[in-house]
Amino acid sequence: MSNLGKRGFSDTADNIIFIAVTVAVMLALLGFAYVQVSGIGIYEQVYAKQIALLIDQAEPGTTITLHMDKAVEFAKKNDRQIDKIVIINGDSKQVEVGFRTRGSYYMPYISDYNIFVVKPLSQDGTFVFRVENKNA
Amino acid sequence: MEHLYLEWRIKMHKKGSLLSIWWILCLAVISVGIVAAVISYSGTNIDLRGVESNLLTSKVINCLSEDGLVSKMLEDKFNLADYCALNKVANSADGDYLVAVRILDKEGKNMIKSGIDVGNIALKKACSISMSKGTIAKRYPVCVEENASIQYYKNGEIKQGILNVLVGSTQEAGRTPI
Repeated sequence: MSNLGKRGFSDTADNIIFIAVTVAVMLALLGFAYVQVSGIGIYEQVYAKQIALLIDQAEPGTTITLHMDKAVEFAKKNDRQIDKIVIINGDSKQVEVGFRTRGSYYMPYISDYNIFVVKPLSQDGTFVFRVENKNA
Repeated sequence: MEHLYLEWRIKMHKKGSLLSIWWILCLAVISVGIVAAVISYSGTNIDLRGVESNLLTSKVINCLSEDGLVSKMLEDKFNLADYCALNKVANSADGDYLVAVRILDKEGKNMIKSGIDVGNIALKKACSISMSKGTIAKRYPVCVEENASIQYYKNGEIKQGILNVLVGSTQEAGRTPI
């Protein structure tokens, strides 16, 4: 005796569809959670805030060396140029950190010094910032 | 089309198919829950307002009192932002910070110099609310008030006094779209 229904679906097909839908939903959820928790957004925020606080504590003439391995790793994955990972916006006085092709996380700093990104060292994740007096 | 749908409904009803509307609803509820939990975790804002206020307070105290002696601040045309290198974007009148400085005598009763404020003066009132005991003011600025023992010149004499610095920060960072 056939187990085909009037629409042509067998019980086995029903089961397969059920499993496929469930697995697809679970995979989508896992993928979403992985992308979110992998931390691109969190790392952007942490680095931006860390750099801004370091700038605020620094006196003119200070050189800040920061290892940002994760930043370079994320930027490579997302095709972001290494020298565009950290941008010091002197007009709006804020640090902008981004690992994706578009957008970045900004954090204002309080000091009124000139900040230079001296060296986003090519691939090793070392960034060097120099804090200079405005008149220097 | 309607005919097929009705057949499907009847089949569901009779057999209690695995792919029932309840199962789909269940998946939807679970999905929404997981998405909400992940977003609330990964979208967490790291609040540095307190750290910033403390940092700015120390910066201002160190800047104003060289070896414990305050001198420049008592001059008429003293500009706190220029003297302590505080940028005018963050410290504008509608900005996210407030720095209010005054000098009191050593008993802390008489004002020697005041009105040297930089930034958003409107935050002063908010600071008094957020700093009052037992108050939890989430959307208010995080404020820090510190006193430092200093010396200052008055009528050619060196006198003991108190440098009072109040700093508030409402600063919130964020994402740029491009």
